[in-house]
Amino acid sequence: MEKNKFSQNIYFRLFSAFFKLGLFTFGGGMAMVPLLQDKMCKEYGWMTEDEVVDCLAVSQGLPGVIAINMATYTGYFMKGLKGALAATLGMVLPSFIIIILVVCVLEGFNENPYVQGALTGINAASAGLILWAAIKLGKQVLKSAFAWVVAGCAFVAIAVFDVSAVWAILAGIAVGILYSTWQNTRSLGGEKE
Amino acid sequence: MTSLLTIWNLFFTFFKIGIIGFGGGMAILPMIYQSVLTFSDMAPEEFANLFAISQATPGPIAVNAATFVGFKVAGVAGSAAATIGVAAPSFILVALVVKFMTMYRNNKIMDGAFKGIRPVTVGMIAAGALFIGETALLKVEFAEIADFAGFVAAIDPIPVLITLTTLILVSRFKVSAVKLILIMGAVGAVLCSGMIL
Repeated sequence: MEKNKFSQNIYFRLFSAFFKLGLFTFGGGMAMVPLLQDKMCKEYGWMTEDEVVDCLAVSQGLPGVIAINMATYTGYFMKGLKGALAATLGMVLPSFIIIILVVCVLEGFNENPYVQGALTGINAASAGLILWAAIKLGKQVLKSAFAWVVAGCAFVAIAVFDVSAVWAILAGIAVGILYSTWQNTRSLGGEKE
Repeated sequence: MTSLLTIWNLFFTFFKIGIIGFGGGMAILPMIYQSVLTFSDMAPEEFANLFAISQATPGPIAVNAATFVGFKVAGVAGSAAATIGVAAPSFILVALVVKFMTMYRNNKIMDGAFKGIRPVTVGMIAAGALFIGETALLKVEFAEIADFAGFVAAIDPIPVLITLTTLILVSRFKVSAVKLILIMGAVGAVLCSGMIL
């Protein structure tokens, strides 16, 4: 019973949720998006789809390690500073343990062809999962012509012209503020030419 | 015997990397090596291992690299110092931003900013799928491909099948992301290792 109570504790649940995310994502950042969405919206119901999008936007737009940004964001969003600490600790711990283990016991394991094959499989699966995350988020977010244009420009800028995500986000902020101010003045000013 | 100074150097080096490491990933690894060389004599071969191991183990690359370098330079205490260092800037900054955001939740400018950020995020994630797909699905780098015939020849059929199967399983059958990663890791170990096919 005692143990059951502990596993219901929100700080423990934040810790274990991000421990699992750290354990099952390779490469961090983008690869974490589908799992974050799965856990936060479906499994725990901690965030709405919109709130997950905000979390991703802030995590990508700020300096620092994206995965840590996501963990801190979610933890703080749920339970303030203590929640952020629990989530971040959970995020970091799998890496910490596994790397030390690898250095001490398994050095050279990454040259094993089966490990290489498994990584290829995982990356291929990640590509599909991230694509699906983009489609799902797209359905949620792209509800106006404005949103479609901005998303399209961001995609082309990042994928084709190698623009850093930070600049894309900053541009998004500027365009969003300009657009909504323009909308407001238009609805206030009536038929102004 | 590792000195307190080494521990502090590790913390401070990775703290700086945590601040400037926008987007993270492989791009920060050369930066790490340069800074670590200023106070330790980590061998180049060991650093080459860092590339491979940070990618081949789960977790964020920056955290993996911090733990690896910290451990090589100063044992468990060193890896703790480096890991805390790399995570601290993210932690502080994000906590402040979320606090600020909840304070100004109903502000019009904030609302406008998010109207722009949300679609950018969608575009960014779609681009992320493309980047990961490039490394997994093509046998050579995309930049090295000259024409369409070269592109077709560079496609690795088994990973492409894995990506498509994953896409169908997650969209039609709602299989969880963790399960799919485990399953496709096992499938890849058998089919992509070059030992069986």
